[in-house]
Amino acid sequence: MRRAAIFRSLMLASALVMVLTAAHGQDLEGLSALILKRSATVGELGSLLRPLSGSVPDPDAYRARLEIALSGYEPEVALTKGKASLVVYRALGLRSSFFFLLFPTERNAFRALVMEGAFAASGSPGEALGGLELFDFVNAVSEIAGRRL
Amino acid sequence: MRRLWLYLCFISIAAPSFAEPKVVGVKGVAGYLSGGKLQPLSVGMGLANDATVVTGANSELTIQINNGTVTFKSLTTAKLSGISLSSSASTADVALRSGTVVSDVKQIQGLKTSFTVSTPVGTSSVRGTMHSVSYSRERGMTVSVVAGIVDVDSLRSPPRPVPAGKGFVQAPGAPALMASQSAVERPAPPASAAFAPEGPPAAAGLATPIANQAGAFIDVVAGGSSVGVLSLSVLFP
Repeated sequence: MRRAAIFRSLMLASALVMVLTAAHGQDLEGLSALILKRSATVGELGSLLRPLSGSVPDPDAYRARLEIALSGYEPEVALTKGKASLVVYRALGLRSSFFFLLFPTERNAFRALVMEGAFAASGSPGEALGGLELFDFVNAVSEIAGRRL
Repeated sequence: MRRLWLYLCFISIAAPSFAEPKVVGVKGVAGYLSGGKLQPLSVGMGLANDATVVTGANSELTIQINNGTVTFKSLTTAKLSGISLSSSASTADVALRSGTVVSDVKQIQGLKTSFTVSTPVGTSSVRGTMHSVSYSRERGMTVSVVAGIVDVDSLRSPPRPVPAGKGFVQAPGAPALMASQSAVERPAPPASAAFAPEGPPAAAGLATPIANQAGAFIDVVAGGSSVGVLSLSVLFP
């Protein structure tokens, strides 16, 4: 009887941990796999950008814009700086680039994010983003989002 | 026998002992690398002297190392090394690969503290202070000092102290820039200097700092090396 109660409480605790981990949209196995990757995917960008909704002015609007921006690509597609820039530019609702208003392309989104300080100017929108570079990029995006709070 | 005991006591006091870093706070997802896989971290856990820690998005990890605490902000990857503590000295190094580390090291009288945060482009040494170091391959190294003084030693500039309230930026491929109050408050050159004949003293006093700053600025904007070509096109009507 007592053993059953302990088993039940253990199951409850593990379920709680699983729910909390799922709420963060990331797990340790996924993170360790991502760090070693030379080329991340659009789906992995989405899983790291979703938790940022807590640091933007309008979380619901951010989440909606992010899902629309991500729906433009298949989740398995290899992530480039241009694709990441376009998703973030649209998700954050940035309006800093006049050229992006005229021509909403990956290249113009990348140039806008270079001006925001997320990327070095020496890069190009066609460059692939690896796991650690994706970490850096998401950190830069959270700084940009924080500046706009 | 008594001699042997005394000898053992002396060794145990004098020799640096291994001080185990201890997890004092976890928010969100944080783990340490073990056998190629990330293992979860929880409050109260001890870490190996050479542990590699990783934090997830919107997560934070705080570790107590000797006489200081280190907070690893979200999406940070760092490796601990050289952690030791004795009655007279405390040493620790955090090798930051990506992300942001905030350290708060307490200065204890009689304890020689060497706490460093190293990145691929530079190292900051703390002696009782609070500061944060960020590193990214795209944006380089950024040091912000909240209290105390930090010595920053980078690959492309000589070691320099950074006082509280100041920052230090080392772009990935450029000379360092420091927002220095003394540079801002530097007195203007006397009017006579403007009319002084061309020669080494006047050129050394005026032209060199301006040239250095311009070079650093171009490098930071371009993110490239300190050598480059600047093209100017002049249009005549």
